Amino acid sequence: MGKIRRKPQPPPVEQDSDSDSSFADEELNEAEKPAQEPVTDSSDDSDKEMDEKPEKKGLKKPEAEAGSAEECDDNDDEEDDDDDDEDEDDKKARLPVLNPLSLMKNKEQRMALYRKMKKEKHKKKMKERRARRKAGVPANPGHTIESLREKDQTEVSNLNDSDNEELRKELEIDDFSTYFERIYEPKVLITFADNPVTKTRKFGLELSRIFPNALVKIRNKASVKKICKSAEREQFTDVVIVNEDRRKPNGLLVIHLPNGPTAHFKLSNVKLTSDIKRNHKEITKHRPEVILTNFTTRLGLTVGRMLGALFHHDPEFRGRRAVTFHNQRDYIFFRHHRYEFSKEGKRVKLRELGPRFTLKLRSLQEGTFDSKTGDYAWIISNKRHAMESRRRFFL
Amino acid sequence: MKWTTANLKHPNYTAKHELFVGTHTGSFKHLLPAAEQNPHTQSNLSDISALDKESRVTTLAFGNEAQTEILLGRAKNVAELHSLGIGGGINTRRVNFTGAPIVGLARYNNNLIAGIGNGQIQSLSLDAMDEEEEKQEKEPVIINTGDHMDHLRQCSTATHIVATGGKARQNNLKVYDLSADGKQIFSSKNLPNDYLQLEVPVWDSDIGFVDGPNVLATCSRHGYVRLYDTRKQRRPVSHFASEEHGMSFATLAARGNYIYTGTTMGVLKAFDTRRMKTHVHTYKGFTGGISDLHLDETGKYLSSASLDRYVRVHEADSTVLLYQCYVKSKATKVLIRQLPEELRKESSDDENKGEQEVKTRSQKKRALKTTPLDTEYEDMFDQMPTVGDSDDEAVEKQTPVATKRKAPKQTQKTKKKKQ
Repeated sequence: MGKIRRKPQPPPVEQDSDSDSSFADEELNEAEKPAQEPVTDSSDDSDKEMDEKPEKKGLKKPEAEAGSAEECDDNDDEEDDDDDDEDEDDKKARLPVLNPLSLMKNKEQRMALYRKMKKEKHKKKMKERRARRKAGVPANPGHTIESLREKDQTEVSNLNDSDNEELRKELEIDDFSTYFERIYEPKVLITFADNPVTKTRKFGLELSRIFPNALVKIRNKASVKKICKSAEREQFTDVVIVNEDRRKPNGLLVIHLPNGPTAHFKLSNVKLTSDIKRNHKEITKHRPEVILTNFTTRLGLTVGRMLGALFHHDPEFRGRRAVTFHNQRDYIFFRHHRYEFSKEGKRVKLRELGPRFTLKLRSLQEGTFDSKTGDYAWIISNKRHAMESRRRFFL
Repeated sequence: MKWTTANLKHPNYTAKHELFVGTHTGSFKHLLPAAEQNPHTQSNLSDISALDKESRVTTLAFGNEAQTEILLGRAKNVAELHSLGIGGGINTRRVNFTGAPIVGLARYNNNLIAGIGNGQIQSLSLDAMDEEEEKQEKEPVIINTGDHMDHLRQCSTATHIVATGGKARQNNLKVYDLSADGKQIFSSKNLPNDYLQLEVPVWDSDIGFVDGPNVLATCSRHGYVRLYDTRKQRRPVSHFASEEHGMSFATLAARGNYIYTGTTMGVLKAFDTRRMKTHVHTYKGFTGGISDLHLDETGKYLSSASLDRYVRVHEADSTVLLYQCYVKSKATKVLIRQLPEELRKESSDDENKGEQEVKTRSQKKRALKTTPLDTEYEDMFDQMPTVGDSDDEAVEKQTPVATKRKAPKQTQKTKKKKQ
């Protein structure tokens, strides 16, 4: 920023760090002092005490430190002048809370008192909770990384805002608009890296059971650009390429035809149907319902539309199949379920069918696959550390 | 500065600029970073509801030297002339060409020159169009340059010179003189073959004139930046090639000794024409490919449009990000210009009526030197002792400082003794 900040002068308390040791010498001679006068955390008392008998501090170490600092402050003030009273008050508020019971010497009594105190605390808590529930106030959900998420400027909260007129127009004319206008039925080509291992092949086969109207082909060492061309000629609308590394599927390239975009995902945690002890015969041929959740930003919206456009517009509800792409902290979790409503229609049972896997967006590129010279709408590959943060998410 | 997605305006960004942005959806926007209250409000200068798939903005240029006319080309065969009135009113005129997309527009002697994606340069007279507009369409004068064109640029100092560049060898950098009936006055020559006797691939994705019609810079999606001097030789006089980095440059702006280029992966670099071995600056903040760059008149501010839907302004010398604004759709083209005087006064009137005096004074300051002022920074320099004037003075000045610093330590010592 080019601005130079003056370093704040270190408070006098820190300068006397060695004064503690001077007190440590004295801590032996006050052992005779009984504990019947428990020191509470209310700072006024303790402070008075300090002033009266500074030798007493050795008993409780943490407080002793704070107390000594306090005292040194006092000394300072006396030396300089007495105008810092308000400041002193502020400092007192920061004293550590000490349970007076811990000063008791008799273990049995002490424990009995502890138990009693704990019980009362619990009672109080329950009482408060009951009161809260009666009043109908929801519980405090607490913090999660998601709730502390950095606000994204591009967030799309409500599509029908007057502010989003341009966005609505863009959705009308972008590459997926023809799908959402139901002009064509999606037809997906699934293929692999060269010489895929069995696991990758099986994964491709399972993907073909999920996407309706999909065809699995071995790549036969064709280049991606050529694949796109011939797929377009054969009236495919999307190409999905599964990459593998170390005999595991590790990448997913989704290309929308004819004019892109191209999305590259990292693929992890692939569990095939057999890995979660299910049988592929359970999976029916009905077209599934697609659930896309939590794609909030503008980029997320595009990715969600892209994934949605791999499936047919009209699910066959008879099959009771549902596939979910759930975005959480930029990881897109895929699950495949069959559901069943109970007779009253109030509860629903789920049975996972598999496969399951996790996607993470690596890049989104305009046009069909052209990794060298194509225009990227989003890529942070070489500056991840500058861009990423624990509380910043892009989807 | 820490990276963020929020709209930003750096407190040191005091230059009065306005930005014009063309987007992928086809909207044409006006941003006013100079406004004090809300520098991120955007107004659309064209009707959004009339847009279709082909109305992506593919070129944006100033039509005259006073920068009061903006030429806008779309992915279809329509070019638009927006003349900006003083009061902010805008007149729009449409001109139809016979090709699409329009990749470059220029104005010369009341002719509108358009570079078309298929490699043609078309020229239309604007006088006749006024009377009978669309009924009797005049056939444009066509110059063929090749079979592909990525950009057409006009020289800002010699307006009769235009340069074109495109993909593949036959569409390399060429310079045309419009005053001599569109005669080709320069065509570049590729570098010699590489050590395997293979041809070096050519793709001049953008061109820039470096101060005058004779020196040109090109950049390529194949990862090179080249500098040509038309007076000297057909081959580049100096060039930069990034083999191992694999950068693919999409857009370029040049001025003085510096060439600014943006890549498709969102990297914006500055090169020094005197030493092209490496880049000299990197500008940060991008998550998407850079689609257009434009320098302001002074050359101190670099505006950039990016496919991550942000428009940014960097300070060219210090690389500081001064301004960032989310424009809702992918920005493809950007223009930056100084706010005209009348508008400046108006905006200041609107914002704070009472502080008229302060405003005028600050404007004077701006006229003197455009570098943003930081009072704290200035103060620091004022307080610094001058070196080399006379040694005694410097010593004198330093001593009180030294005693001040020691003071707290001394008191501390005395305290310890007491304890």
